[in-house]
Amino acid sequence: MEDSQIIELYWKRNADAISETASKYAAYCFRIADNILHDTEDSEECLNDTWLRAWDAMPPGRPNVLRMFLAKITRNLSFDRFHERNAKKRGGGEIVLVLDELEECVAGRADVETAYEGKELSQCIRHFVRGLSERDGNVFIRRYFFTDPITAIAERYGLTENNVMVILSRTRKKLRLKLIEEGYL
Amino acid sequence: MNSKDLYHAMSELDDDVLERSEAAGEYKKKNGWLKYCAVAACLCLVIIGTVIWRQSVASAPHYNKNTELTVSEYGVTIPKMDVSLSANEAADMFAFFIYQGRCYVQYEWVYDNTDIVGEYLGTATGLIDEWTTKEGYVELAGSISGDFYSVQGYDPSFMLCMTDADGTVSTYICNNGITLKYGSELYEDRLHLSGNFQSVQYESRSSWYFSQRERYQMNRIHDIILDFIKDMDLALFIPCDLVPLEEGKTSIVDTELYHLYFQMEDGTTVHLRLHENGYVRFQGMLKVCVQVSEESFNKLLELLDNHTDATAVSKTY
Repeated sequence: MEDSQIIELYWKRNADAISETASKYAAYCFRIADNILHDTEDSEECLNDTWLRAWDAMPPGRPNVLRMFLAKITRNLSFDRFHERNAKKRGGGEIVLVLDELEECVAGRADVETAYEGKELSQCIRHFVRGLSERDGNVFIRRYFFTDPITAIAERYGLTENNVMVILSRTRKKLRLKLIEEGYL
Repeated sequence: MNSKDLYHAMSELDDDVLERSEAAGEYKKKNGWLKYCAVAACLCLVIIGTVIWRQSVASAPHYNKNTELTVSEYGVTIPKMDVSLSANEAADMFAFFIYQGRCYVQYEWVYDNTDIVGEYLGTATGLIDEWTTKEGYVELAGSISGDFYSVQGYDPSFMLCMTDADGTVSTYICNNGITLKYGSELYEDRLHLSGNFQSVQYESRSSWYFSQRERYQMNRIHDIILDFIKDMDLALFIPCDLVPLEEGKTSIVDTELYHLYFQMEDGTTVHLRLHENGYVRFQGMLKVCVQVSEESFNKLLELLDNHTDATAVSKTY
């Protein structure tokens, strides 16, 4: 079924919307959740929550790209669940490595109380990613939005793992400079 | 601000940018590019470089732009592919260089044996990046620079190497413009597998994919391994695109089960990928595979599944 038809089902409050969404995007969203949680049961629960969140959001929402709309919901729910789980010392998947890497961008400034609005920071990062070359931007997004393992990114783009790590390292340094320049650090 | 705030802030990235990151990967998958984009990116040179090097041809030779593998009575031919650099292919993504009209792509790092470094053959200029025009694809150009050498015991038309300042040796394989019929043409004629490996390690697809490094080493060389190699040697090569797939699977990558590492006596590794139904790919040449017999493959899987007579390897490797 086309995405536009699925969205119409949501707008008509037709419960088939959820089964159609799950049928088309379960595997896709599961990968996103599992990259963060690395736990089948938790990831499947996040998927169920994703469908419900989508049901709550449409209407009034009418996403331009349903797949990315779902990806963002899954990512946020999985990250929230990771927080809960982390508090219980249950470990994590690729997300632990990803957060460690991102720590480099804010290193030495974490103790500085800097007032900022979440929306403004998101806007800053959106501009930053758009300013990157297509290759570097893609690699950055796979790692820090989709939480893909280095191996998977290398495989996706035909790079060596070393190439991916170098690209990410360079980009993190640029992001750190951008954050300092914009007054976030 | 901490790393979690930063990660959270990235949830607002624009849809078109997110889609682009997927589309780029899908493009490569659909066309079976993967890491062979390095090969693809330097193909123009295969024409231009060859012409300049030989200095004997007034015009470029006939060149088939069809990048599909072909199957004939002589085997599967992995062609010299042609691609424009303007097609979003960034040449500096890959470690490769061009020598005698052949494109050599990085295969592995060898950390503990510089004895494999053979005769000095040339110096790669490393002048190619994503902005290089076709004219830049000339002999000795590439995405890396440095002296390169033959590898002791291997045909230079198949494998070369470079050395790093810390003594690490990186090997490079020419994996295009080649025709292979039987497994033995790769595993024996070129990689000299039989009788030259000293141990076998393996890890699951999941361990490899998530970089968990849960490798096991077989405590001895089982007859099952020897039978498996014989089967590979006798099997015919086929293009991976021709491997039948179950519904829901889009490429042979989805059928991967194990990674098998033959540790060679010279310090190199023959890295194989094992797939459902007995298909086997060599890491340095992922577009083709052989299919071993069901009996041989099932015995091997049993060995790997149960970690029979195997010891976990330290994750520091």
